[in-house]
Amino acid sequence: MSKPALASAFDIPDAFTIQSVRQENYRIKTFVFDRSLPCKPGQFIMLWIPGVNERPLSVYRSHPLSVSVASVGQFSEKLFHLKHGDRVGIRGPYGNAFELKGKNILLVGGGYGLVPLSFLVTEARKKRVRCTVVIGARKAADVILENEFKKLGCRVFVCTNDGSAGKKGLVTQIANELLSGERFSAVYGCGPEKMEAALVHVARAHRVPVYVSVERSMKCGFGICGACVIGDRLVCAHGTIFTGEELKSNPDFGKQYLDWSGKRKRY
Amino acid sequence: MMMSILLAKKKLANPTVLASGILGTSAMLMQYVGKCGAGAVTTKSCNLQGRTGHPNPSVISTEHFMLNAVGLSNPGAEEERETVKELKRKTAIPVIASVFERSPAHFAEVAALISRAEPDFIELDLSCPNVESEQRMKGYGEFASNPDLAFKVVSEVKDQCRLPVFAKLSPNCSDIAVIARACEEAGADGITAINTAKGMVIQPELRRPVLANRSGGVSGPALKPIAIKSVYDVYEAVDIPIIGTGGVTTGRDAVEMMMAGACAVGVGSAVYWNGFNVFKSITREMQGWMKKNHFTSVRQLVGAAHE
Repeated sequence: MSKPALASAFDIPDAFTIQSVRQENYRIKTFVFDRSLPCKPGQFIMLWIPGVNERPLSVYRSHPLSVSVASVGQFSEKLFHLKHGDRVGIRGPYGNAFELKGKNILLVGGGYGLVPLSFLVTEARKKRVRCTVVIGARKAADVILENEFKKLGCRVFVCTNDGSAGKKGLVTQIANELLSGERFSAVYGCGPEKMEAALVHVARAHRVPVYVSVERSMKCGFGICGACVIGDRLVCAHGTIFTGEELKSNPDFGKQYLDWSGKRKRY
Repeated sequence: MMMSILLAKKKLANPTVLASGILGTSAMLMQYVGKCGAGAVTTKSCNLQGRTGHPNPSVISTEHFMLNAVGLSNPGAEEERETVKELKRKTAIPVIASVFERSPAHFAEVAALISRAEPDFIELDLSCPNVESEQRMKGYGEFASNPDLAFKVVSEVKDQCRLPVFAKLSPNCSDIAVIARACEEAGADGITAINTAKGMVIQPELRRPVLANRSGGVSGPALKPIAIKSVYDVYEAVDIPIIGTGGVTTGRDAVEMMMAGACAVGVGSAVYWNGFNVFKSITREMQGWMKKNHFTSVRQLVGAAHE
């Protein structure tokens, strides 16, 4: 049998035990598992809670495997009830990874989109890449990972919708100012798709390579079922990281997605 | 080397057909599959109302098989009709529109509705193994195991729909040849064989069946010998063409499937093992095999294993 072209070797959940749980803020928890899973920044896993559901989650760290999750719906609510010693099923990692480009990068995240960017920063700092991070959040209580990014030696800018922390405004405004003032080798974004679309626009206007991580409903995770289609690409297999070049001609990016039944929905 | 085939009078550039339920969720995606070398594409099955499908895990895979219980998620026939229209407008590739419903009358209604988008064929999904236990789908599980019901569905659809109709059958029945013959008598223009076979995987450490639906349908290489036997039996029983589907991942598999009696070869889960270009690679490998074994047309392979 030839090697799977788009998939990892075994796409069946493996049992992982929760080692510890850390509360990041009022709605985000980090789950650390009992062992490692070799993953690259930007990749995701499928986490299965038996009897509940299985969802794609960005990898926060790979040694040991950890994920940071926001309480956004039924699945994360059930996950939040799990504690040290509980077991879940995990398969993956899936998707491509962020490509580290150059020595001075700008990372722009909204909400829990900062999670995969944090993983990228740890790799970038090992290679002595200069990192500037723009953290976007609705309000002060939603700002995450600020101290961690600072500890990793990043320059950090914070902005909130209501001005309760950092500047009042949008991450893309700050990104635009930073890009106007200095030469970055690449821009990396993760957050709500409207924000990502605006970021791609800004970075392209400054002629800086831009990479964003796209989110869609997922079923298989390995390029078969078509649930996560965006234009003629599959987010799980061709992404989740896409370049600005790939996205500029994609008719769905920033505009529409398929719901669980396959119905088209507009953002 | 002639690789084109005729399927109910329609010409396919090569015998590979994207099987239903794989990558069939949007027109652009199926257009891309066409670029990857498919001779025809089958849309993801739809019904009148649409369905959300089952929770995850809904698709898992191992070295030898895939197991799924996606649960026939689809946006409903109205939206699916727009997808078929868009696909027909953008490409020249033959389109098979797959439909399912819970009664013969509903089958006829959904087939008539989707026909208005003018696909080249209608495929009746008589046999998805993942929804038959649901109350609202009561009766659905029997269409492919009861010849009288299969006959009713096909004949009602043929009354309402002038397009060529293929009936997709299941290996989970006592004699697939009997069902195929009932479909032929009811006026079916072809048979698609087979759907996935019922199966289950249990995660031992977590002590639970992995799929949220508990059981699902097996596809991929492990299904191939079951599919070959089914197609062989159907070929002996009917004169209408067969789309042979189940576990084909290489050109040699496709040759085997055609020798069993298939006129075209469904390719689905193979995308997992061999990537999107599996359609091109199957056709290329078939050409190589045919050259070496002195065949000049792919049509000579059909039923070649029968005495």
